[in-house]
Amino acid sequence: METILKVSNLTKRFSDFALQDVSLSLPGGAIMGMIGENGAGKTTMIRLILGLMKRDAGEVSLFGNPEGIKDAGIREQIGVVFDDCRFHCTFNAMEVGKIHKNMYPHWDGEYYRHLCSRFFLPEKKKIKDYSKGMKMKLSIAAALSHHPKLLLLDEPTSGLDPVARDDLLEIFQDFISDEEHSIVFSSHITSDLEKIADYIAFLKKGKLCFSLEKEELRESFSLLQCGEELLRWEPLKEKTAGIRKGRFGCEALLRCGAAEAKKLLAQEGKGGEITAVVEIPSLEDIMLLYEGGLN
Amino acid sequence: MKGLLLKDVYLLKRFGRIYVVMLIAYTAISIFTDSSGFIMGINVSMFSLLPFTLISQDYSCHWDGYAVTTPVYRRDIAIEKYIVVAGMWAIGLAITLAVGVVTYLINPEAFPMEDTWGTMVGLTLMIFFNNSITIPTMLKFGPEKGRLIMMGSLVIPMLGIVALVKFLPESFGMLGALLGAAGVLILMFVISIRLSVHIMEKLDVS
Repeated sequence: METILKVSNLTKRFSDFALQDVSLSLPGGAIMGMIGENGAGKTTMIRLILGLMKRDAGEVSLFGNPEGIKDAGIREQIGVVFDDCRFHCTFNAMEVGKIHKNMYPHWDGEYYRHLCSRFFLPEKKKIKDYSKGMKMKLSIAAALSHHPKLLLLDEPTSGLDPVARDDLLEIFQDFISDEEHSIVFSSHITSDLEKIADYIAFLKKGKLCFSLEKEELRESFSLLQCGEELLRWEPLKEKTAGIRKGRFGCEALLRCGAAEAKKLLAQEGKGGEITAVVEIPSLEDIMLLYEGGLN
Repeated sequence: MKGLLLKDVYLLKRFGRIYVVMLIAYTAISIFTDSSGFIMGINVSMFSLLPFTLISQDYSCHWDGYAVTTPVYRRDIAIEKYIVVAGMWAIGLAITLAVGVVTYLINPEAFPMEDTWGTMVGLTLMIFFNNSITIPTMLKFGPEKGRLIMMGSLVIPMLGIVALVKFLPESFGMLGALLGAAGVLILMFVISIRLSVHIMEKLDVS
């Protein structure tokens, strides 16, 4: 399978924040969800991939081309959706289409009109009169209508209602239905990525904690709900990636799958404790607990 | 490039309607007051400020940050802004001349053609001088600082005109002065284009 995106040791330093040494890759036909809290570096990462800002170190290769975004031919193969609508609010969808037709050599006007109609976007209504969901759908229609192979989406579902979000996720799943198309999708709405992502990259304070296939992720982490005492037990301590203390006990994110965690507890006779429950963590659990509250 | 130009044409269409209304209103005021000042003033200010307004509009919706992800080259994003300036200049001159001829035919004493020629020279000076300074500044620092620098830069052509009138040797003549000014403007414009291309190619866009 062709590697569509390869990021190696990407680094960008600001006065108060740094994205440090991030490496990941994405094969064709897959969706990579980039998760992390606000300010974790997701947008910085996408901006660096898009060449919107200069990187301090590292490489970004797109479709095997080390020039990345600098190559206009590569830019033809990508579609970009930002978290805000980048079109002038006085334009309408028809004008946006005509402008793009003159920017992309392979612009498919018929497909654009089809998408606008599928998204119920009135062609002559001004963008300023669109709802937030409509603006996002217009951005997506524009990003898809030159038939890109890679979509880069920076928090496209933030601020949208569940119905609009679900609609967009369906569109993204249609887009990657063959092995030629891929999506990089940053979001802090983990439930969206739970639904559609094949790979998860987790950024925290500018560092990549992991980049794993979603299935691999389930085998790499487990969630243990237990009393505080149990977490002081040395074999568990070694495997603990993060702890959250609540009124009725603790939750710990373990660096091993649920089966392995259960086995460990059973072997040592700890599994019999009424309060110890091992589960598969959700992305939200991982995001909240990873490297959190460790003593 | 065509897509970028089309984007500005659509933006200008909106301003065009407002401009036509203002042009009619100011022409009427000029005719009733027997003074060409209003109409010539509106032409100079509208056409020299429109490119600035377009850049501000691009900035407010982060258009340039989007455009650089399309097959458009960063260099073209900068150059297109100067093509718009040149277009504004040509349209501005044509309208000024047309209005000047019409008002001259209505009342040759109140609206002599000399006023029209003067306005055309002023328009040329303002458009090329201001935009040569403000476009690279706005690209680099954004519209807020660009606006301040533009306001400051307005003083320079005024001082230039005063200096020209006061210190110009008699032998040099008005034609020589105009040709000299044209040379300076062309040089400034070319340097400004190169500077803006350089800025755009290195710029971190949002």
